[in-house]
Amino acid sequence: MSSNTLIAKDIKAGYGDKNILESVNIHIPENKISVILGSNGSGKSTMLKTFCRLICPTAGVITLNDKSLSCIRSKDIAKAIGLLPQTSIAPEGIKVAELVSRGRYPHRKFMSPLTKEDYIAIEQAMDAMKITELADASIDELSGGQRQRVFIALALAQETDILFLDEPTTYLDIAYQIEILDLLKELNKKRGTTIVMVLHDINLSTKYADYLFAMKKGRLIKEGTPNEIITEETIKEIYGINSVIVPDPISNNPLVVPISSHDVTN
Amino acid sequence: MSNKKIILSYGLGIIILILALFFSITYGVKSVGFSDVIKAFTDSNSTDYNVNIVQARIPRSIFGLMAGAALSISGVLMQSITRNPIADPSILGVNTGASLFIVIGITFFNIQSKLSYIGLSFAGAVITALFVYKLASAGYGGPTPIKLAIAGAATSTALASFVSLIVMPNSSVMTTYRFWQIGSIGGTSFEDIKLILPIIVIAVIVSLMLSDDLNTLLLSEDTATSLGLNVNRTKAIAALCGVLLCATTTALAGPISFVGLMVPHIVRMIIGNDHKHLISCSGLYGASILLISDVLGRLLGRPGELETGIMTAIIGGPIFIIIIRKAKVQSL
Amino acid sequence: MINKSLFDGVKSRRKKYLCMVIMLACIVCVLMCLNMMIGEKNYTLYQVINTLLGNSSEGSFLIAKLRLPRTVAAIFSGIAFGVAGHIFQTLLRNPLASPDIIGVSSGSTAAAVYCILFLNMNRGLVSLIAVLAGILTSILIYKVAYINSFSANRLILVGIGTQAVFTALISWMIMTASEYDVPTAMRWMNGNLNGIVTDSLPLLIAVVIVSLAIIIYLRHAMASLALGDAYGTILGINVNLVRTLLIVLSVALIAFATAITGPISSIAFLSGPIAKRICGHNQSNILSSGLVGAILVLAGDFVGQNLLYTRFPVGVITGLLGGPYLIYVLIKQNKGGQL
Repeated sequence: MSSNTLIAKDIKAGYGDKNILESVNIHIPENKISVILGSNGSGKSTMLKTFCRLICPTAGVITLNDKSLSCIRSKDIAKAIGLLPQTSIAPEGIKVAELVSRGRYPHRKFMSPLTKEDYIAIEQAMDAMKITELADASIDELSGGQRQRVFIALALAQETDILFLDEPTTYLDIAYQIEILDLLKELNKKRGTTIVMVLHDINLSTKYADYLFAMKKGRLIKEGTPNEIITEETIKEIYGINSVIVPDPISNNPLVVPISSHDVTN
Repeated sequence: MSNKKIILSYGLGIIILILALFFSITYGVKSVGFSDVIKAFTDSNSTDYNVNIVQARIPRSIFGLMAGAALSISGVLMQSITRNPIADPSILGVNTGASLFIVIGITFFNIQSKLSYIGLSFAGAVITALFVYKLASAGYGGPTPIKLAIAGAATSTALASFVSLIVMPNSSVMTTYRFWQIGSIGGTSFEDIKLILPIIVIAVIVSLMLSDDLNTLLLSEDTATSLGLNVNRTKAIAALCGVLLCATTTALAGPISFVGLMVPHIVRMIIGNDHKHLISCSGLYGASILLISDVLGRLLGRPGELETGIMTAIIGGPIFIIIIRKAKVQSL
Repeated sequence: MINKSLFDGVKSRRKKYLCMVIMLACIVCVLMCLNMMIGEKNYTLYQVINTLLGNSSEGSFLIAKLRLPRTVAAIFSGIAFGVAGHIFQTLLRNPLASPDIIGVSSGSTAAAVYCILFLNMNRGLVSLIAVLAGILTSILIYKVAYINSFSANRLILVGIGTQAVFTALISWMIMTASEYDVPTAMRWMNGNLNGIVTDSLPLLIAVVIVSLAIIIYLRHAMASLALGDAYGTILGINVNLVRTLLIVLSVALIAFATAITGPISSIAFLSGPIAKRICGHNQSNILSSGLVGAILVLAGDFVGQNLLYTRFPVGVITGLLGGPYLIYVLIKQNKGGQL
């Protein structure tokens, strides 16, 4: 079980001169699945990218086990924090096993070929994503859902305790969405991997997340368990829509039913 | 866009053009005075040296005017049909295609007449343009600026080798070719003007008639189709005009690059996207820019001349880079 | 514990890659011997070896002073162009984005043509200036294309614009030059191996070996960077440092090779894709691209010197290969592949 603590303190960050994040404080809950919610442009992807060093904060500090990220060797951070970016491009014609093995980069030594540990990590990653039989397939031949699993496996082969995923289910149909989120849940249960995602679907978020962060206009406005966060008032606050919250008939999680202006309300 | 601004743009364009024509006639290796110009027009039998210079420069100026207008309008058309801000005969590699065909003509068929130059140049330009466009549209995302530019550059490189292969063992062809491939309006005569005038006039009129259709095409192709536009026919006619305009000038003057790229951009910044005005204003300003480049080349290249094609590339290259720097990364 | 079947594929692909590299190296050797043996006067392999070892003086001028430098220059410039092109294509993630197309070598060419036509410099000095001009041009392109962040696409387009300006300058110089000097300049512009002097070779060889060693050392980082900048950072690579280093090394390779042989067209552009086609897409393909480059230059020179009705510089022959390759790309893409 991991015990890496990742904390953002007073983070300001953005693109160019424009700050998108305004003093965000987040403590990533260890060994849990967290989801960051928010409307378009609320800064959730920016937050994720800042955690993964793709964006440099203009103010504030991100600490991993109480040490600032800027003081830790790049490769050592890469052994602790992984990310599935929003879009991934694979080099043309590459085979799945080789692509997944690129996730071993931070663990590899100077000039040496893949070691036994590398092979084990790659195999476990592919096993967890159920793509073992695709090892010799070319990435170009795969379906969208399979490709996404290959890229998650690449991130898993990195063997990090913390895994960020930026909209892992976009462009996938509902069956693949459930499949991928189920695999992630299993990963969290088996290995205790801390998972942080940005998801657009609120109802899938409440179904899989242990903890939710709600962002608006570059600020963190609420955090807590799904039951604490998902209320009619908060949904109104985050997305500006009216809704009714009902219990999920199977899991009893809160389920958001948005109200359209055409619905007849009582 | 207010009417006032449009009228102002036309007015300014005409004034600049008149000035450019005046400079083009008076300045050069040997500069002449205003009185000589007047004399040249009033007294056609004069034997005065300066007057003869003016008379010799007149066809060059008129040809430059037509070439500038033709190239700029060709640029507008190509940018509209490829929906691509950096489409231009030189970027698309069309010039090299025309070069190759002309070199083949000179070497193997011993062509002499200007008309066969035009025919070959046109054939080369059409084939290359189609090839590059196909090459760029293949794959993901259609003909994006980056794919179009790189397909054009790669095709140019490949075709240039064929040109070298043909030219190199043959020194007389090499001499003809090296003067042609530079792009100059220097050696043109009234005969040339008579030859290309009808082609250019027809192509410009057709493009102006197409301007409403081209405006519709600016929306997405699907939208244009659902608005009842025959997208393929419009594109084909516009492409034909565009290639015809640049191929005829290229055939006689050699490749003159970047005029078709920069003029429409500058004009678009001033008067916006309405093709009726875009086409006519581009023609107006393009003519001035080519004439001014030609004059600058004559002044900077003293005692000889810097050819027009070189001047336009030296001015146009940096402008191209500025356009690139201003564009958003995603749209590349 | 390790699932045999899962990694059998990986291992066999590695093995295949090594075999192919060795095979390519053998082809280079064969072509090298052919180029040494055949020409205006033919020698047997035995005669060539004897002459090189100093045991025989038969044809020693032709073999040791003309053909040997020519062949060595062909091999090392081929490797330099091949590797540099492959790196550009990988880093810029575009199979058509090779240094000769995006203008990196245009600065070298313009400077060299100027020196040949107007300053009548000797070959050694021309080479030195060509190297400097090539490096300066690359820095210029990189600086102009860098706004807040690096963008591969902007770099390519800025390069194409720069190339156009330099091409115009070259044309102008060729125009104004006296007719007598033009063929020399034209030949240089097309890349050719005539009149290579032995003195200029050790520097090229040193640059190729050092750059190649560093590039091979960085191969894992390069493989990860090929997935995009984001993946590079996540996997713990200092993205800017590695990318700058790789670009600097490629530019050095291109500049030094261009300085000695002129821009041999299409080598940088074709070697990477051909190497990938032969060796698969799963390995670094650094060595294989270099070897393919050497093979193309050697074979092109052989054809240009011996098989055609008149002698052509190697660059014209290799340049011709570019056309069919583009058509091949077009056909492949139309079948549904992607760029």
